[in-house]
Formats: sequence, C-alpha cells, structure tokens
Amino acid sequence: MTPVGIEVDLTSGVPPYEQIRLQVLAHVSAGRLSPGDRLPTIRALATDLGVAAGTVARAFRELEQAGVVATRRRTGTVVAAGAPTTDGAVRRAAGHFVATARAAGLSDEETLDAVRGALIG
Amino acid sequence: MALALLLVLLILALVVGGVVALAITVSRRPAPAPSQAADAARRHAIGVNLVAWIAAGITAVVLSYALLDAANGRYDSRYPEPGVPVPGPLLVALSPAVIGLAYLVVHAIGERTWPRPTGAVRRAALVPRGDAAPRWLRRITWAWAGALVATLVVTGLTATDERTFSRPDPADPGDLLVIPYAGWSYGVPLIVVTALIVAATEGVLWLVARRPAVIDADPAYDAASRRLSAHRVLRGTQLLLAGSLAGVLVVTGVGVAMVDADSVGIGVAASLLGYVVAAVGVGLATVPARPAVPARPADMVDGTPVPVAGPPP
Repeated sequence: MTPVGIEVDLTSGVPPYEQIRLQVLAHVSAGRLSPGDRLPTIRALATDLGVAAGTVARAFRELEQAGVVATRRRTGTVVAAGAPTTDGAVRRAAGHFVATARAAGLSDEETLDAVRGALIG
Repeated sequence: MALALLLVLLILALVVGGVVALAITVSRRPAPAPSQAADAARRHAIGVNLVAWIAAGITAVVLSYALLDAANGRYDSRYPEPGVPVPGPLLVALSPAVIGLAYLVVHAIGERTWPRPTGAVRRAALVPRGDAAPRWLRRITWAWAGALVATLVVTGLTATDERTFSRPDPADPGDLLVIPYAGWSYGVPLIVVTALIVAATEGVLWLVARRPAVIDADPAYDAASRRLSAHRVLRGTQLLLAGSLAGVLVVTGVGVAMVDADSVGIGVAASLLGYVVAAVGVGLATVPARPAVPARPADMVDGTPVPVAGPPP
C-alpha cells in the first residue's frame, strides 16, 4: 500500500493548521484514506512537520467537528465511517482533468482557476 | 578474585563488542543517502553510536579501577558492620547499570537532539508510527534479562549466606571450603539494576519511535533509519546483559565445581553455559543492522510515487 503524505508550506498565506486540514480532507475525498484508517498522533505529526502540537490539534479538531475523522481512546485518530468521499466517477474525472492540466503545463493555482471558472460558468 | 573475574568478563565483552562494532562502522562503505536531510540524520546516528560505545568503554575502565581498589580491601574499613555489603559486591552489582546507563543516556540524548525539520516546506507521512525495534533482538534482550534474574534467584536461594557458598572440606571435615557467591547481597542489586536497564532500553526505543521523520526522503527510508537506531540500542544492551549473565554463570559454576564434589557436573555445565552466553552476546553485538538506505528518490516507494497533497495554492 502506498503511504499518503502531506506538505506544509510555512511561507504560504494559508495557516499551517488549515493546510493540514485541507490535505487530510483531500486524501479522504480522493479515497486515498478510507474509513477506519489510522492517522498519526498529534504529537508525531507535529514533530515530523516541525510545527506546534496545537497546530495539528486544531486541524484534527476541525476535521472531527466536520465528521471527517474520529478520535478513539484505543486507536487514536481514525478516518470516520461517515467521512465525505467523492463519487467514483467524479474522482476519475477529476484525476483525468488534473492529468490534462498538468500535461498542458498548468500550475496548481491555474488548474484551480479553471475549476472555479467552470463552477461559476 | 571472583569479583574481578566477573567484571573482567564484562569489560572484555564490552571492549570486544565495541571494537568490532567500530571496525564494522568504519570499514563498511555506506550507501549514499537519498537526500540532504537523510545524510544529516545518518551522520548524526553514526556519531551517537560511536560516542555511546566510547562512553560505555570509558565507564567500564573507570569502574575496573574502582573495583581493583575494592578488591584490595581499601574500602572495607569504611563498612565494618557485619552483614552490610562492602562496596566491592555493590560495585560489581552496579557496574552493568552504570555502563549500560552511560550507553543508553548517550543514545537518549542522540534521539532528543535528532535533526529537526528545517526549511519552509515540511512534509510528513499520514501513517501512524509503528514499533521500530527488530523483534528478534528485543526478544533476545528480554531473554537475557529474564535468564539473569532467574539465575540470581537460584543463586540467592542456594547461597550459604548473603555472599558466600560453603561446603565441608573433604580433606578436613572440621573445616569449610568457602567461595564468593551471588547471594542476595549481589543478587538483589543486580536484579534491580537489570530491571532498570530493561526499562531504560524501552525508554530509548520509545524515543526512537517518536523522533522527527527524515522529511525529504521516502517513508521507507525513515522507517529503516529508525530500525537501524533501535538495532544499535538493543545490540549494546543485550551485550551488557549477556555479559552480566555470563559472569554470574562462570563465577558460580567454577566456584561450585571447586568446593562441592557432588555438583561438579552442574558447576562445569553452568560455567560452559556462561561462555556460550558470552560468545552469543558478543556475536550478536557484531551483527550489522540493515542499512537505512533504499537509495531511491523522494516521493518514490516501490517504484511508485507517494501521493503528497501539497500545500493549498
């Protein structure tokens, strides 16, 4: 099984906790994290990322409030059973779209602009 | 004499193991680290391992001087009360702890000062931390500790008094043949010390499992790096415990064979077992751990890319 990773850019305008939250959400939505999958502990993830434990704790807390993850006493933080995942066809279409955008040389921001444009069109 | 033999065995095992480990470390040509952070982590780990062995060696040498003083009886006058252990036995009993703790403290400091993530972009795998220690080596370490405690309980129960074992002299039935023996004066401190070493080892392994990941190498590299560190910690600890067990078995076995004609076979078997334990301990201490370098670029595991979501644009 391929491990899933996240990346936090400390120079980004987006706060680190929000970056963590969005990326965990993206992995769940894309089906790379399934219900029941265990996440690292807050302390371990904070140590690896070199950020304060409170930063990761806030991201996990908001994910828990959104029903994406659940905290259990024995197993720690796991992906919740009712976590929102994208429909398989939509996920495949999104993958195809991203591959096309990258082949065309678009940056992530330009790719998202294209999606936003389609959404408001 | 028997006390000196015990410590000499321990020191010999440590020195041989340390020299061989050093030779292996120096002579093996390490594979290239897959990233700058991985290279820094590897250099840190090698340095910590070398310093740990040196610290253990220096501690052993210092203790051997102290033991020689005790063997010469210089300390006896300070503890004249009968039944109170003189520093000699206590020193012997506490030597493994002091040597082991010197070794483990260096490893613990090394784990606490493990290179932290640097740079603006930080990465982490979204997988829970597993147990990094090689299971077989951990089991052997626990087995040495268990066997040592069991041996000390047996010698404690069979000792004539707190520190000796005696039998009537066949040549002169009115006289006794007395040998130093691992009675409760030696046994209780050694049992406590053994428990302390095992607990300290588990503590260092806990630190190994929770140190910062090597951020710009693939997760398999980081897992292998932790396994390597845990292997190094256990390698030294098991050598120490094996040395202690071997010392107790050899000293007890030789002594019993000398004074108890009915137990010559048991004594010889115990001393032979002690030598086997020492040989196995030294052998295991020289088994090189698998290097932590599957030299693949970052983001690749088994030839497939690791999905990293990346910061939101």
